Amino acid sequence: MKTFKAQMSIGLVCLALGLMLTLQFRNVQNYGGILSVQRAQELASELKDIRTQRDSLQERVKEYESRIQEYEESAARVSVVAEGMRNDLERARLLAGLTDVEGTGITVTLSEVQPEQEFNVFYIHYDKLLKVLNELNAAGAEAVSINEQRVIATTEIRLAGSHININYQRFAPPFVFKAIGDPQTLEAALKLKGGIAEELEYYGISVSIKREQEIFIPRYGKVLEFKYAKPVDK
Amino acid sequence: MARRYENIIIFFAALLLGITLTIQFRTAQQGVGIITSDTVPQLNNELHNTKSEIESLRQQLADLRGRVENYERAMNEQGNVNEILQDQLETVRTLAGLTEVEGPGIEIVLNDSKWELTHGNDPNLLLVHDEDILTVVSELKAAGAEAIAINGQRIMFNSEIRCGGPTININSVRYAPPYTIAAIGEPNTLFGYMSSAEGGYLDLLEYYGLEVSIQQKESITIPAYVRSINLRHIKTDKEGE
Repeated sequence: MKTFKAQMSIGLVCLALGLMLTLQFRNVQNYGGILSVQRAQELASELKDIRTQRDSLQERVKEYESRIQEYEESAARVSVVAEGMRNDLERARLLAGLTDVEGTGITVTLSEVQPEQEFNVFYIHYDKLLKVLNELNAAGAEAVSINEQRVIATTEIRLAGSHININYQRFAPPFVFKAIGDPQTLEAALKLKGGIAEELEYYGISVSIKREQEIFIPRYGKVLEFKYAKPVDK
Repeated sequence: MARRYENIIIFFAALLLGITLTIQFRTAQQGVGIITSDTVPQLNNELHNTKSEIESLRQQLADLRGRVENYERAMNEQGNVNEILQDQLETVRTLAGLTEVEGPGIEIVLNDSKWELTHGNDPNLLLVHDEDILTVVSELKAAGAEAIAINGQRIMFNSEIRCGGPTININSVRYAPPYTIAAIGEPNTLFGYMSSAEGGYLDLLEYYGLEVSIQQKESITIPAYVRSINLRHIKTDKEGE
């Protein structure tokens, strides 16, 4: 009886041990193990540092911008000509993607349904993103961003190594589109029978579309200037 | 004696269990949230992006400083800022695609295949599709194209390029092949992206039998976008505040 008890307890302990070991190994396999965790931590702390740096630069940029805005507003107050130019300038900035915008619209999230493969094969190719953007434009989108990158006339969507470049920034799935426009029209354009949403789902990409009363789309974040294209004087 | 053995075995097993448990918990703790195999590349992307944001913020700051100085000088010297506003307006209108522009670049012509359609073949393979043009345009942008037009239709931030039967709609205007894609930018870079040694996209189209021609040009003129753009759903951020 005693031996049986002892054997039972050894058996139980071994079972628990086996389970723990399996868990541990699976953890290491799935998540890349201790090394990768350390690397991730280093990266995370570096990221935190440079984000602070970025935020303080953003503050200073805003300061200067509000000074320029004051100049423009005070000019517009004293002169009708200046007021007209300022209004035209605002409109042109809007079309160039240089202002933050808000309005009704939709958000579209494309994510990869966890593939059974052990390595993450890129299911969402750049051409799928181009198509979604194209459909949104055809449905009258007035402003679009992908992962907070404002889409302007020169925005590229391109596979570059193991990521996708948008405005020369690097992204991997999931991809979140925000589009300002008529929510119903935008959604219907994507969900069209035989349309892009169906096509994406066929390729194992989950598409979630949400209508929004108020979405915020940031302006283009880089300095925009043309080196080669010069306006033609008329 | 058997008892001793048992005890020793249990002791070691318990020790191992304890160690494994500790490692397990520490691994779980260390990860802020869940550490997945994607995390490192994801963090690398974010690092790269934030660094490039900082870079462009620095440029913006320098640019803004210059502009504030200009405004100050204009106020002191002329008493108004109309000239600066006029300049700004011209610059931003150009960036938005509202002016005709001129510069060096390349011209690409895409046409349907001249191959005979053999019986049983899919005729779709021999046509220029909206996706082909979309990709070519995106590649041109990646190569730094500043202005692009297709058959004279300026590509704007919201331009669609979409099949409508045998024709392609661009900015709601119908076009039929051949499609002439003009782009202003550094001609060699543009050319390199479109027809690179590693197999540019145009090479692929050519492989499928489409008629493709590409030519570097010293000077290309690209028309302004002329249709009106109705922005009914946007309220600018300022009005919202």
